[in-house]
Amino acid sequence: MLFRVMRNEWRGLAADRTLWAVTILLAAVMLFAASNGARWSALQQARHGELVAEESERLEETRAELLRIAGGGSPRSRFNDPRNPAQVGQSFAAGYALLPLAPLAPLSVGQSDLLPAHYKITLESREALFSGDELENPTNLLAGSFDVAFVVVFLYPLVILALGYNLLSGEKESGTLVLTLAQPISLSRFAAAKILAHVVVVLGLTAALMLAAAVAAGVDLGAPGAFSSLASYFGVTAVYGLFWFSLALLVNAFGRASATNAATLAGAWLTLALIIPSATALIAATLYPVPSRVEMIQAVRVAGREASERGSQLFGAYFADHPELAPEGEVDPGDYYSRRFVVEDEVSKQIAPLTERFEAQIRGQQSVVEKFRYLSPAVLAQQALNDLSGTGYARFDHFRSEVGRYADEWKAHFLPQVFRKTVFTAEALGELPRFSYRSEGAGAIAGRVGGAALMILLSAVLLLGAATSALRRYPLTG
Amino acid sequence: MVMRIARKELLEMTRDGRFRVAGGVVLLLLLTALGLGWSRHADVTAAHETAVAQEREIWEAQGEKSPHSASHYGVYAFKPTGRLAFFDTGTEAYTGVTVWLESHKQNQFLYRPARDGNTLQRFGELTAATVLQLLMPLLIILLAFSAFAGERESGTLRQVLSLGVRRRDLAIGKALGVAGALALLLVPAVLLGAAALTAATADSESGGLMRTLLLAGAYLLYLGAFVGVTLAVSARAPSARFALVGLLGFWVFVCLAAPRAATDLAKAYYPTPSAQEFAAALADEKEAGIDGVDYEDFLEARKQELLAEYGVDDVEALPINYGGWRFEVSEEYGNQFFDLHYSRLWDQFEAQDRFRQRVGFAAPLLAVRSLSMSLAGSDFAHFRWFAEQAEQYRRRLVAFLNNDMRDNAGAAAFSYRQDRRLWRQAPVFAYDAPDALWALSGQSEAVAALVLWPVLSAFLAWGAAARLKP
Repeated sequence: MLFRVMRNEWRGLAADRTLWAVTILLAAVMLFAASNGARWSALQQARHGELVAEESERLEETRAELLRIAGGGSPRSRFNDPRNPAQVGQSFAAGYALLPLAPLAPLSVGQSDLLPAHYKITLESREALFSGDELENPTNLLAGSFDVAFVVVFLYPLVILALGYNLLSGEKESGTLVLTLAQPISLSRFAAAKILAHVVVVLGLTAALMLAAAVAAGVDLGAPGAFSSLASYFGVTAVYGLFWFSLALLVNAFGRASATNAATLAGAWLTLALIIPSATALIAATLYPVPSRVEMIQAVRVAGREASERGSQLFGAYFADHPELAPEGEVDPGDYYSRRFVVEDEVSKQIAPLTERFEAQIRGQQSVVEKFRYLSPAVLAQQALNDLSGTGYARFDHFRSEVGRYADEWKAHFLPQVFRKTVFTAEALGELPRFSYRSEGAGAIAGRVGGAALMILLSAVLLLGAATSALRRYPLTG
Repeated sequence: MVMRIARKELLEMTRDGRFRVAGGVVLLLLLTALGLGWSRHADVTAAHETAVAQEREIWEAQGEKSPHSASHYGVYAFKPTGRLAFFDTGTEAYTGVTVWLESHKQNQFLYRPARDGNTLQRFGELTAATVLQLLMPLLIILLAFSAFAGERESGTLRQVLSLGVRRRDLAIGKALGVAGALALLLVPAVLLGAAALTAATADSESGGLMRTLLLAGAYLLYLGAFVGVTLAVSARAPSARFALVGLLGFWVFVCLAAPRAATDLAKAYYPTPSAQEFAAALADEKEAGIDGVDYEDFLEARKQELLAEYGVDDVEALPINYGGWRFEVSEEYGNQFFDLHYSRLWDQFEAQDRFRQRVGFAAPLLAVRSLSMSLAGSDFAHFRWFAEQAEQYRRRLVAFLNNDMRDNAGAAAFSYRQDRRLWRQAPVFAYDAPDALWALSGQSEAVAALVLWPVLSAFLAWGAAARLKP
């Protein structure tokens, strides 16, 4: 009987133009989204290529210049001399730290348009290293991308609701509900069979379209972890879909008219997918306002002035703090570069409390988000999909800390040479520390994604429970 | 008759629980967004004012050094936030807040506030503007989808028409009823917003009042378009259910899909260069020069002019400091390339924005969003206006320092020192905000789309009402 109802539901869906319209629409938006994602990924890949090429070309030129000078040539100027380790660390050999694209990157743009996926590492302070941005029209950043994750998080629930808003109310309004229930089947079994028929159709369709989108977006399914990530991507989508199916069933279980159901579901979608996330963002920003960066710049300027006034007195304290950087023998406190880095370090130390306040406020905001996100399956799904595509906040945060570590390494490599006034040579160019990204580990990502999926599933189950109990009081007539 | 219909519609809506709940939520969100937007805006403005004053102090207290060193020390310019930005924050979270002005270089703006925000910002910011742009249309749909279709289903439409009520009176009455219900929500919000604004616009140099009025007009047109479309669909739809689902689909297209789709298309047609490409192209062209005239040639030509002007044949014989003069020539040479490349980049961004405006003919949200950001002073064009003024100021400041060296350093080169007295005389950056007409001038397509939509939708509603089937 269950299967017969399902088969009948499929016939109904197939005969109804809505399903075909929805299928064509969903296929069109998925492929459009896939092509957008493919374009963005290719662009980023090309940018990384440009940076790598620029860096190796620069290193080659520096090597040639060093060999020319070693052969008796003179440097172009005092400020353009690759024998000076400070200039090498600042510009000649400054290396890029790149965040590699994950295999599913074309499916979610996530934070990758806003947060840098590369930093140029010099001997500058950390604040300076991290302040750079990619060029982008701010209006583009504001609007966000039409990517596959957008289709999944926002449009796909609407497809589910458009097909299911009159699951029972439609039957009731056309008079078939009472007739059907005259057969040996209970209302809850009937409703279950109908919703199951929808689940099979929509998830089957989505699985096929998602695979097509991944292929169209140029995802290399042979890459390590790509296929399992895509499977998880679909898994999150499926669980997220179950939530909306359950919601449609629950709303139908109250026995209202189709138009009322449609309005109620639209309101629920609006609340869960748009209002709660943006209200949470606003609450977080109000509870933990991040001070304007303007304040930070001022603090750096003031600290910088005071530190340069103290100048040479800073050396003693500096080497007490950084014994590993101290060269053997005397340091020339009059040396421009030695002085500069010591002053900069003092500035970083002075503004550390302010930097800490910034980071504490950002962490505070993020903690509000972490708590409130359980209110919205859309937020959970979006974060999980970004995590699987390697474009989530957490991965960029991890990248930043990796870059910070590398920047320290870079400084530790060059500063003793600066203080010692070592003459930099072509051989030394081959011994530079290079950046390679160590990923945060599959376990961390699986934990976050699994946790989010579980929470969505749990809310779906709760809705189903509520729907079952409401169905017992379903008003068959009136 | 029209008024009686309108009154009946309004009464029905205000008694309806749906309207009370949905309207209450929208009003609450609108007031919250206005209030929090206002307080955040006040904080940002205060921080900005402190910073501007402090920056000048820092500049003046930089100590004794050569004017050229001072030009390397530079100053920071801080982008002010427009007075109406509390209503529509527009792109403010995504534009850098400050730029470092130093000699030789036009720098990029730093510190996009969004990078310091939380991840949920990307779901869209809750501002008064987004409530009006996204939620109000939905409320209109909810209020009016059953205007005709519902009455047809319940049979009252047949009765009313049989009484000889003119179909078009019915349409106008229903439109007025919806408008009245909306006014119940909008009037308190508008009064509050206006009060906040009057408090803010003590001086009206950037045309605050004009901008506010134009904003109100833009939103009236936008919401009017939704009233028209909703009534037209309700009059034509076979059932209330069909009208609602169709209208919700329309809303999803206009408010959700179109802005993102337009952005991806804009980026595909008018690609943004990478920072690396931009910097490399700038450096390459600066190296190669314009029409084969590189820096050496440029300097040589200017040097000959200079020598001729003073009637000497060697720079040693000049009564001015040649080094200071040459610094300024190198600025002039470099500025040509900054002008060229930055305007190319920014024109590209404006082409993207203009493309979005044109999509406004298909999806009015894009038109109202563009116009609203522009009138609130938080769009890219206003950012560019500021950035260009900051750049002009950079050039004035650097020229002031170079010219001091040229005129007063004599034969001394780097040993020439200046102090607080000169730093104090240096030009001050006074930002001149553009007026409302300037803001409007870049929005012709958005304005056209925004006028066309309500006219077209009223026409459709009118036509549908005339052929109303009982």
